[in-house]
Amino acid sequence: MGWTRVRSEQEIFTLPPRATALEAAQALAQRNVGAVVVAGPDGKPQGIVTDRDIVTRVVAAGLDAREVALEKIMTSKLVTALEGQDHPADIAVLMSEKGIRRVPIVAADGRVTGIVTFDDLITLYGHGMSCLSHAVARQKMAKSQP
Amino acid sequence: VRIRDIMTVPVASCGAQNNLATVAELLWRNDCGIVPVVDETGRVDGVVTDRDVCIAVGTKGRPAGEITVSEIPGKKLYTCYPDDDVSMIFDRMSSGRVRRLPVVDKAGKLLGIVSINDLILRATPDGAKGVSDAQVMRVLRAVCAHEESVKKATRKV
Repeated sequence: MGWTRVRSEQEIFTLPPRATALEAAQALAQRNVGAVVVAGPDGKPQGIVTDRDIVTRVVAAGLDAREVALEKIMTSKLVTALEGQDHPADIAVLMSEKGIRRVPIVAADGRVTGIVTFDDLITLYGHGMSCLSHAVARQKMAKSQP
Repeated sequence: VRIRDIMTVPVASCGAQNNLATVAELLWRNDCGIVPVVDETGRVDGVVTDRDVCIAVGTKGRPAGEITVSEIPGKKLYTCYPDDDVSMIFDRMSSGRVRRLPVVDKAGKLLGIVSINDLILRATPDGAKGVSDAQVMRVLRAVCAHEESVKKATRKV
């Protein structure tokens, strides 16, 4: 199954590297999301900044959010998945291996087109996993009956 | 399994008069995502998360050191008791769509905190340690559901 985006109603949102932490915090509040992808004019992702990054790398460090550029606080070792090629299960494996909860999706030309979060995958797989566990429970019940 | 068996103690806390720069430092130093807010007697009044701090900085138009915890919009507080059975927190986390619960005594005083991570780390396929994978998955599904999905589901009902 190829795929593009788990959460279709969520438009991918990017900010340029020179945008400030304050602008990112405002965007996270307005869009009710937990992370912003930092991308250059070519649309290629350079890093990611989460709400927690802003708290621990700006506020806790005593810096002024109006003056700190995202390129100074972003996580730049970015793990991405390829649109239309990587399966959600591949992304779950990436999250497990790298200990991350958000994976930006990039097109073949390198432009960022979406993001998949831990919550997205739980929502996607949760129902199926519950059904499977019920199936096992029912099977055990059937076997235990005379 | 009781909450006391899996809760984290001690837990950092703050007061309503503390500023958000102080809270951010607590979140960073303690490597946690939530700090309970307690009054002068130690009773829990609310919680502040790392996201709350970020959103306040983004929307208040003032530096974090000039915003107090009391300015963060209040939200419904979900707590539990140390002697509660662990199964109780499945329902409470699911219905409140929260990932952590402050643990309080009968007077409401802060004793510790229990997080969904504590459940995940304890879960086994057969629930031998009091928490099964299926139970954790149900809680995660409820907590992780997107706001829009919850609203849609509510409208359908």
